Amino acid sequence: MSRTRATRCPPAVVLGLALVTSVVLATPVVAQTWESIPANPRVEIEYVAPTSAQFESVYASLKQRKILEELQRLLAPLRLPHPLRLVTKQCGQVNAFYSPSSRSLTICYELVAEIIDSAPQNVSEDGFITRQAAIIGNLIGVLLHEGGHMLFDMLDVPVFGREEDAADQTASFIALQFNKDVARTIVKGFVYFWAREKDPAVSASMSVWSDEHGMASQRMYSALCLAYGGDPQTFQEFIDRGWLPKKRADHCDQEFTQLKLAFADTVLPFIDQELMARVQQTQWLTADELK
Amino acid sequence: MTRFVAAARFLFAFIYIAANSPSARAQELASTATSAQVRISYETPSDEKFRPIYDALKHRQVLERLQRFLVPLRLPKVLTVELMQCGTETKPYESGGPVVICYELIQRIVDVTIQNTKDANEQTLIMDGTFVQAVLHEVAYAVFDVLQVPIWGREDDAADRVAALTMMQFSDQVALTTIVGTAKFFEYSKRAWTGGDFADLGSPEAQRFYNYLCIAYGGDPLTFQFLAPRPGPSKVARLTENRAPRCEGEYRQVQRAFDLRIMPFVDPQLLVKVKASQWLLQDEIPGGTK
Repeated sequence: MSRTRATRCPPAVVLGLALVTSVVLATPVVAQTWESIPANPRVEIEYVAPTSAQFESVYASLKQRKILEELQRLLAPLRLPHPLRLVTKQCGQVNAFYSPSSRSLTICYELVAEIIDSAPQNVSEDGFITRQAAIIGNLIGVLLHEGGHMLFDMLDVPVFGREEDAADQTASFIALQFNKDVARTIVKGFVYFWAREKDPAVSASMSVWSDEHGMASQRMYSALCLAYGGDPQTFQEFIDRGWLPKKRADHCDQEFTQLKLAFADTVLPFIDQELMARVQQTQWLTADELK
Repeated sequence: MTRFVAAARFLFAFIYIAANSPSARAQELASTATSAQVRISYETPSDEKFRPIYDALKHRQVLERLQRFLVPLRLPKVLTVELMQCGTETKPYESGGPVVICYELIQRIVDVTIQNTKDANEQTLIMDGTFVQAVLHEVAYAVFDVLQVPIWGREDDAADRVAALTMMQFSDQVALTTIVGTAKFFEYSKRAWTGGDFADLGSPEAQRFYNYLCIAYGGDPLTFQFLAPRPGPSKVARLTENRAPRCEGEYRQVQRAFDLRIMPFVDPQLLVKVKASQWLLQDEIPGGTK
C-alpha cells in the first residue's frame, strides 16, 4: 500500500509556487561573504566550553570556524515569532536536538567528534566523497534537520506525516537552495553517513522498528530522491552510480514538487524574499569544504 | 471451506456502519442525507472469485454508508469512491480521483487473516479493522488532494496518521477494533525488508504497526494502556520505552494539523451527529478485543 499521488498544482498555490520557484534553484550571480549578511536579531548563539579536555579541539574548531555566527546569518531571512538560541556544548551523549520548551537548538560536541572520527582519512573507498565533504556535509545536514524541527514548532506548521521524516525533508530541501556545489557537498555528507549505518537484520525483533526515525537506508534514499527530484541534472551522477533504485527515482520529481508546495504554503510566508536572495548568493562553505 | 466461512464471517461483521441498525442512533444516522459531493460505484468483477465480495459489499451498501460518514466534509469538488477489480491490490490515488478500493486488497485482508489465526473473534477483529483502515487511508489521500493540504513527511504515513486519528474519534470499542485489528494485520503481514526495499515510497509494515499503536496510545492512554511498555518478555507487541512517551505529542501533532487544515472544511454540527452515532453494533463487536 505504498504510492505517491500525482502532483497537483492548484491555482491557490500558483503564486506561492512561483515565489518559491524564484527562490528555489536560483543561480547565484554575485557571491557575497557571509559576514555581509545581517545576523537574525532573534537568534542568540553560545559556545559552551566543554568540561572534558577531549572535546577542547572540537570546541575550538567550531568557534574558529564561526559555525554559529554563520547560522545566525543563514537564518537572517526567517521572520521568527520567538527568540531562538543556538548552542554548542558537551551533552554527555552523541546527539543534536531542538527543544520546543526552551526554543533552543543544541549541537553536542560528542556528535561533532563522531562525525569527524567517522569521516574517511582522505576520500571514501569509491573516491567520490572527500573527508571535508563528509564532515561539513554531515554537520550541515544535522543542523538543517534540527532546523526543520525548529521551523515546525516556531511556525506552527501542520505536519501530517512523521516529523522526523519531515525534518529530513527540510534538510534536503534547504540544501538545494544554494549553488550546485553546496548541494552536492551536503547530499554527499548525508549519503556517506547513512550508508555507513546498518538497517535491521531480517531476524531482528519487531521492536527494532518502533523508533520514530526512519531506518538508515530509508533516510538515505529519501535524501537522494529529493536531491534528484529537485535538480536531476546535478544529481544524475548519483543515480548513475546506482545509489537510488530506478523504481523510486521515477517518482522523485513528484516528491520534490509535493515538498516544494508544502514549503511554499507553510514556511515561505515567514521568509523575507530580498534577504533570501542575498543569502542564496552568499558563499557559505570554504573552497576546501567544497572539494 | 475455511476460507469461505471466514470470508462470510468477515462480510457479515463488515456491516457495522449502521444503516440497517436496530439502534435508534444508527437509524438516525441512516436518515442522514448522503453527501452530494461523494459519488460511489461498485464495479462488477470479471473474475468470479471476487463475486462473493462484490455481492456482499453491495448488499450491505458499504459505499452508501461511507457517503453518510463523509457528510460533514464540505468538499469543493465531487469525490468518487469506487470498489473494483484492479489487477493489483491497490490502485494509487491520482489527483482528481477516484478513490479506488480493490477487491484484491479485500481478498488479501481475508487471506492474511485466516492464514495467521484460527480464532474467530480475532479474525473478525482483523478483517473489520483493516478494511476500515484501508478505506480511511485511501480517502485521506483524496482529502489531501481536494483540500490542497500541504504534506510534510511521507504521504503514505500522513494518510495512515489521519486514518488513525479518525478511528480515535468514536467509541472506545470502535477505536479498539479498528486500531488493534489494523495493527495485527500489519504484524501478520510483516515481511523481511532488505537492500533496495528501503527505497519504497511507503513504510514497512512493522513501522506502520507502531505508527497506529502510537497514535492510539497517545490519544487515549487509558483505553490503550495495554500497549504501554513493560519490563520482561511479552507475547503481545507493545510500544517501546523510547516511543511510548512521545505518542501524546504525535497524536497532538496530527490533531493540530487536522484542526488547522481540514477542520475548516468540516460542518461542526453534522460532525457531532456522526461522532455520536453508534457505528459498531453490539452484536458485531468481536469478543476478546482487549
